[in-house]
Amino acid sequence: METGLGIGTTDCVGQIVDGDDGELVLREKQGAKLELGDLVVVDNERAKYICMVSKLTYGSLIHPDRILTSSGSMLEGVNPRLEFPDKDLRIFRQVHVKPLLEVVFENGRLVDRAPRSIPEFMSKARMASAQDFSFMEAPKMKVFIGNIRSGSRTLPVEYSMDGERLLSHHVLVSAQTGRGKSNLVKVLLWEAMRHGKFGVLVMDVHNEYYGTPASPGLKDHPDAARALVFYSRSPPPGQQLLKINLKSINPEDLMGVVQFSNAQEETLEQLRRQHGANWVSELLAINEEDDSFKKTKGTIRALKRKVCNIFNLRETQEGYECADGVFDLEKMGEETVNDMAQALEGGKIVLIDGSSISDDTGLVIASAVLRKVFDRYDYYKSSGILGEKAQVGVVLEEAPRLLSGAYGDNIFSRIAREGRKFRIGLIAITQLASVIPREILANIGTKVIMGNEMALERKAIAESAAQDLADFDRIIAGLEVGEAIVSSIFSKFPVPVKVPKFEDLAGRERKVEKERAQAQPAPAKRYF
Amino acid sequence: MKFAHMADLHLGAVSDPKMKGLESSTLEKAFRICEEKGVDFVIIAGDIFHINIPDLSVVKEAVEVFKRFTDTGRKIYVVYGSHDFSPNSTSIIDVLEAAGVVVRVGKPSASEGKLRPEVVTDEMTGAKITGISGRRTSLEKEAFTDLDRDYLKAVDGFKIFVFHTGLLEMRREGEKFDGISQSMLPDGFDYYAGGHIHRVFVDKSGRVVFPGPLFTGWGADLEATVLGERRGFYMVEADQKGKPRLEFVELKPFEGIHKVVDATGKTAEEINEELRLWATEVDATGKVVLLKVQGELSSGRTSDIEFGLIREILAESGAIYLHLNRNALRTKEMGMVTAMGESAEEIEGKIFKEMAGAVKGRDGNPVVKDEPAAAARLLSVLRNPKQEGESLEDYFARMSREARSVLGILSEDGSPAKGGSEGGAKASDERGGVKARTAGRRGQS
Ligand SMILES: Nc1ncnc2c1ncn2[C@@H]1O[C@H](COP(=O)(O)OP(=O)(O)OP(=O)(O)O)[C@@H](O)[C@H]1O
Ligand SMILES: [Mg+2]
Repeated sequence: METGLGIGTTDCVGQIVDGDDGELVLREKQGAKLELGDLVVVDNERAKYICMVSKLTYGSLIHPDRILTSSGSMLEGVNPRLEFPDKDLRIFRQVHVKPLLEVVFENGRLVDRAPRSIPEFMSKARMASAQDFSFMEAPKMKVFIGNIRSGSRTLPVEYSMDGERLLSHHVLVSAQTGRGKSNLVKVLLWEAMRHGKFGVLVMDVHNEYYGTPASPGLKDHPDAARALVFYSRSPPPGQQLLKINLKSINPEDLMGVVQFSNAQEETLEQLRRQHGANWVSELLAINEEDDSFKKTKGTIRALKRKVCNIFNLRETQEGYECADGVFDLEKMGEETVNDMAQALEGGKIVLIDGSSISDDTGLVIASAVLRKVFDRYDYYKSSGILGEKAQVGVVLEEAPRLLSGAYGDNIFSRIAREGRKFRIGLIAITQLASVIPREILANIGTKVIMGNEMALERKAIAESAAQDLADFDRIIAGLEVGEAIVSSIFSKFPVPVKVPKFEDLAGRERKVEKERAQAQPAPAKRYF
Repeated sequence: MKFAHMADLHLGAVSDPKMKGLESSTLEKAFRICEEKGVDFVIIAGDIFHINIPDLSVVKEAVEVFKRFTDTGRKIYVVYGSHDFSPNSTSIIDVLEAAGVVVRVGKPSASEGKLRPEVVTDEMTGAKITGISGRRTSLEKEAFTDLDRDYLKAVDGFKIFVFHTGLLEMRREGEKFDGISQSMLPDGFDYYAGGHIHRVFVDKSGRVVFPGPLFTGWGADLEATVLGERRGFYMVEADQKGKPRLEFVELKPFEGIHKVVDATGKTAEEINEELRLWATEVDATGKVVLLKVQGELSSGRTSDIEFGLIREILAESGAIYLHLNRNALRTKEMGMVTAMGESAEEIEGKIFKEMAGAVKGRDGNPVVKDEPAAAARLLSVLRNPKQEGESLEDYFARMSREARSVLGILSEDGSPAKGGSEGGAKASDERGGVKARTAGRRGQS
């Protein structure tokens, strides 16, 4: 039978024998071997219910005493051949499934919505297939996240989200180590780059995003030339030198990232008031042994030490200089932060090679850049042209403490709170979602939940998710590398996906590019 | 060894006779100093001339100075600059090179997709000199990207790299120019002789040097000079290895006076009075005068201000030249033009008619014929957005080309604009026409 709902021909795996609107119970057909996380479909002419297996139990119609007796005699070898009559009928497995979605045929098209009813009693269930997701429409600014997954089986159905919505309402990627967080973010960025309309700032602390000659990275994207800028201490030809004048850094950028005492903060404020952009040089120029600094000697000394630490400055005969050359105290790199802000505004991924700088230093740089973007976007907003600018985002790795505002207000917590109005969003990657304050978690529109064995962490995420994930606890605990559940305010159900391995995704396109390049060799260049 | 590093001479950029005189005497002075100090060779890092085929009288004067120097057996090493290079016609630099007056370094050859610029050895000192010419930034970037760095690394001796491209990292806060990252410069050279950026710059290592222009006869550069920016070139002394010793030779091409008048809240008549008084009292003899009038007049048109008269007064008192900057001068009256109409086009048309004659050329006549129509055409051209896949530079070039064509102004390389008015007229009727035409052109090139 073929109807608009696309009722398939897949074999029946069970039948509804119990349950309510929160959970249906199926009696499993012998040998169907359903697993946690599998997607099953129950349909009739009116509606189709897509459900996820959330619990498996046993069922038997034999009196418990008889079961125990029979088990005992088998174990003890009293009567090893003792069997139950009609075993297949009277012993079975019960599958508890959570209805995720109701798909109905309305006004000539398929509409998905949160379940409002339950299927007929004794309806048969079957495994979900690609066809069951034909109601899904590709969003406008499509950013591919992964394939829909039924348990560990990947369906040929792509799941994409609208990039604007995704980025503007913040993203949380949460999993324990090694479950594929970085890989997922790489996939997201790769997909976002196709549009050239998303400006995302990424501190590449572990050198995993740009790529190397041996392993693919964002540099291999067909649109890399227009959608990616890379800043590094030793950039490959064509990319940018990471050289930032300390005048571009505001004490605010430090205070949000590093802890200072009250006295130190006051001194920083005072330096900024008195010397403006030159506050670092002026601080370093202070001779704290001078009598006029009698009272503040300790504070100044501690400040100098912290500042030198953050910027990797050391004292030489000719004054202070940055040991790794990233920061400049004189006249170089005054426009770098502006350039980065400009690139973000222009819809480029700005990748900063963090391999030579500490995490905190990277955050200070990010803060300076984002402050600039915020200022600009604030201005665009008031002049009514914000809509023409790129949606901006920042990837924050392992920085729950920043979002918590533990060190006072900073640009990151500001983005978390009000970035949406300014088209600036966060992509927060963390193993410890529980450390992020609840109100901030609640503000994050999309949560990509990956494998996590820590119950506390699962709880923190489930409680703040867009859908009720209480029944998904064990499913989340058992997610394999690259498997995720996407819970978003822009989706009607928690979507199980399998994120592609970045190397596979990039490799496919690289091959296509290569073939195209080989087909038409580059014209000879005439330099001058 | 001792050599001089100059850049951005821009010979032929000025038209005022007195400024021309200063331009050539500054060049002469520079080479006289080189002579006196006994330099072994001179490097000019691009933009010797302001255009690729300059006025022959300008060339003659330059050649006389250069020849005097090279006749002693010493060389002048150059690269093209963004001004004196032409992609499709001969540059005066090629002529000078053919005549043996200058040596162009870094002539490109390609090997396996890599650029190998020719390395020239200075016979007198053994210095190895190469470089990358300036063209248009996007093309230079490509050249730097393709540079065969290993090949350059293998060159030994005292090595000089000449280039005509700004470094992005040297931009001051708010300074906008395109260029290359410093990391694009090939490693291992003893001296990097830069050009293109019109100010003095030496990086921390003391090896990456921009001397800025010798002489600055126009625009923002002239203003900067009057305001105290140093102008001249570098004298460099070096042994085979070790850090070169730099000495900036300041040429002070002219003395300047600088006057800013704020017109805000004043009438044109009051400004006239103020300027007249100042011009008669100021001692401008033998000086270049920079006069900046800014702000918003409370009444009267900006064209009511008698700059012509001020110019005369100053000239009489012996001033070399008056440089006038009134870019930031507005009038309330200009802002108060009101027009009613059915459509945006109609209102625009009315306003253009109203404002016709408000802007005058130096000779006191309107700059274009039939101003309202020209303004409408110009507006229509400028409305065109950047197209998908079009680079900013291409867009800018296209806009400039079309705007010039609409206004019937000479194109940048000096040739008269072609087919301007008809294309432009069409553009004012239908915006789609412009797009289609543009696409066609891009396809051809
Ligand atoms: N979707 C996927 N498919 C297949 N393999 C994957 C996938 N995602 C990640 N991997 C592999 O798993 C490993 C760990 O991935 P990744 O670095 O992304 O994890 P992570 O969560 O960021 O870890 P960490 O907490 O250490 O940062 C890598 O070797 C990666 O190639
Ligand atoms: Mg990771």
